Amino acid sequence: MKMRIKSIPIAQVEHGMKAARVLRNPSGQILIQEGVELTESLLHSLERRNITRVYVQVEELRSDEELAAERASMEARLKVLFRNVAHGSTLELLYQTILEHRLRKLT
Amino acid sequence: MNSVHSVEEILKSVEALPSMPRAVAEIMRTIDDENTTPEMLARIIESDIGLLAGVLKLVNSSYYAVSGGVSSPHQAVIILGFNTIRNLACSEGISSFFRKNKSSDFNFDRFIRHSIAVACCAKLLARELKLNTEIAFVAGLLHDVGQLAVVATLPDMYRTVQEYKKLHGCHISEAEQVVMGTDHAQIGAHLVKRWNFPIEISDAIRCHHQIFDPDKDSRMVDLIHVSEVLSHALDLGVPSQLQEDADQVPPLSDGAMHRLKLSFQQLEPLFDEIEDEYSDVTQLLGV
Repeated sequence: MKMRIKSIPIAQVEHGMKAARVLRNPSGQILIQEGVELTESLLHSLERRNITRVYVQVEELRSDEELAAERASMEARLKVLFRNVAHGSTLELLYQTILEHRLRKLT
Repeated sequence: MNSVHSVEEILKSVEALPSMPRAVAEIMRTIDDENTTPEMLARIIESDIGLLAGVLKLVNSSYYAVSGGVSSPHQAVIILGFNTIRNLACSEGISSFFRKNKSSDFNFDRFIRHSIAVACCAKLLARELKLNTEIAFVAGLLHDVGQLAVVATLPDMYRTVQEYKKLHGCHISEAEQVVMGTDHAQIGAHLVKRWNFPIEISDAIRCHHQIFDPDKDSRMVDLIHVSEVLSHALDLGVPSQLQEDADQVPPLSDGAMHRLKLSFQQLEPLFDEIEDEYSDVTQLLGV
């Protein structure tokens, strides 16, 4: 089964789910290591720290064709949004950063 | 094209807008007051029946899933904390104010989604830069309130602005300056000042499109400007059925990035968090 990482609200965590990424508080301290089971008591302690979401593994339901189509439409939309951006500008860097970020999420 | 009204007349007209609930400005004033107690915050929320009902509905939503339910704002502050309740109350007060001023001439759905998108970018950038996240969130929510004011009180003028913008393919602020002699940023700042919101918020609203030299040297001003650009770049606030080919990322002030000592690569780890925050707030506010 193909899996992907998704962030979900704490209220939607199901029994047995594990943290798919390290979770840090706003000052950067690690609250949960990757792979740790999200037990009820752990979730309560996160809520007390005003953490509202966690990253978990969920099943990837999209086919390879659907992922390729999603990638093509994402790239086309980014080109529309950044169509007037000058070469070498800060906005061009932002374009590249977002493109790489989205591609990473799709693979 | 000459302005048909003077700027003073325009500002007078937009003041006819139904006012922002006074309780929201009072809640904003508690941010800098360390002596505020949960009772004081609860009393402000209770002073406005609409706001009270809205806040209780939000804290009892499945998102917070508080066991046993919450029946008073005082209990809500104790359980969910000061900042959460203050944020919820401001979001609820401002979004219900937006809805009261909804107009058929205007793509309201796009407006409210974009406002939330800028608010979420501003909140997380503020956290990163150690600025006040609550001020940043509310400034983001209200940054385009001037546009709503013009649509609601001067609909003919709003139509002329839109026609000019379409004809010349220019930015909305440029069209507004030609048609009205002022723009939505100035108008929004004027209103927010009248509602007694913190001065940092009206400064940030006034300068959010000033890309070269904002008339105010403040990190919050730069933060709202960068948040506006980032929200467009991440395409937040524009669900696929509302996407248009005319959408584009607005110009960015390199000066603002420099003053904030920010780079976009440094912000990349925040992108997912910003998108999550945006989806939570829109869901919570029923947008």
